[in-house]
Amino acid sequence: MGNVLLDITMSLDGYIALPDDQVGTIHDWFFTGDTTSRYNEQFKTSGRSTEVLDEEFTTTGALVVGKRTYDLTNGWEGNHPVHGVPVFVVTHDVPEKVPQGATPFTFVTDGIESAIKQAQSAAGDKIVVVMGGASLAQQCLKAGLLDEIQIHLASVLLGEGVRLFEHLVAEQIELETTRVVEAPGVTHLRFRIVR
Amino acid sequence: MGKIISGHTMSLDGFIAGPNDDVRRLFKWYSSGDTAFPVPGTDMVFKVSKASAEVIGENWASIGAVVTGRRDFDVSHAWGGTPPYGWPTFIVTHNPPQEWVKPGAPFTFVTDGVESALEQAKRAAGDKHVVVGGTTIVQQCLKAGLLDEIHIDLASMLLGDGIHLFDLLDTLVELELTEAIKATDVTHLTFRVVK
Repeated sequence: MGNVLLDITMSLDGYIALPDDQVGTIHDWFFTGDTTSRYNEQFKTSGRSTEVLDEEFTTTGALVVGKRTYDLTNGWEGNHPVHGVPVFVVTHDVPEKVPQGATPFTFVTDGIESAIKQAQSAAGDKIVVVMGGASLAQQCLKAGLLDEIQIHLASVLLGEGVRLFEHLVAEQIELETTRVVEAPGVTHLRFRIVR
Repeated sequence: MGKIISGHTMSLDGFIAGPNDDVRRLFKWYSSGDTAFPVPGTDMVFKVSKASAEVIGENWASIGAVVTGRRDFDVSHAWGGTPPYGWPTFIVTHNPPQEWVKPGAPFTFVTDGVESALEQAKRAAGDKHVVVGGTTIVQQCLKAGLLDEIHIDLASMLLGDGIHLFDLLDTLVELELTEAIKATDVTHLTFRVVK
């Protein structure tokens, strides 16, 4: 069974978005590079970001996301950039209308453990990626549901915004750094959660 | 001429100290390696990984003076009276502790502000760098465009609570990564501040 990976872009000062949920320049590493992704031409990466992004496309078996992120992106208009991979949305309310496209959405109303379990079934041997937002990430951390964390550390201090690691009072979580990849504008850090 | 740099060990969730200024877990990397690193000018001998020993050997030898705040000075108990490498240390405070004001002490208490402390530190450092500690001072320097580099020893852990390095910034600061070195329990990151 594949690992459960929290995978998200964060500024050096710990923010995954500005206060208004815009991402400013921190997602530039996905879109402003010189090499168009062979998996999705929306993405243009530079340097070793290309191999990191390729890996995302080839190893992701299922995605788990919070309702807020789903709403902010409008369900990616039915087509999440990782084509065809099932997306499990953790929510209290199932939306009446779901944008129709290539992405199969499952709305999970009975909690994060259920969402992760269903995602693992769907993913087979591949990785379950928890892609955000901050609230879901924190809940998964507190519930001990994550095996790995990958932070794409953007070379910027945003000064304010939505903090990824918050409300974890008294959590002391040991990590082991498994990979450090330097790339233009971003450093890709991968950690295993030590139990 | 030397640069003005900041240098901190910081957890992945952005803390440079745990609750109640506890730094025992944060500095795990000082003693979890296999290479002895005697800290010049002190009785301390760290045991770090070989990669860390090279990084700190090079970086710390390039420091000529320290500027920090009163809180940092108090919390570290004035480093027992002898700063590492005998660095001349300038403490920004309105209220110098009289017991430390003695001839020959490596500490200078600066009561007329951060910029004065930086000027004095630059003179003391000669060609070497001035390192700035203390979260308030670092953020002040960043906002005033006075910092040239940010050095983060990124500790592989989530502390959950403590003192944030970057929480009062309210300013966007562009950075450029110049070095990322993976080591045991820590990743050494160096950023140039883009001005």
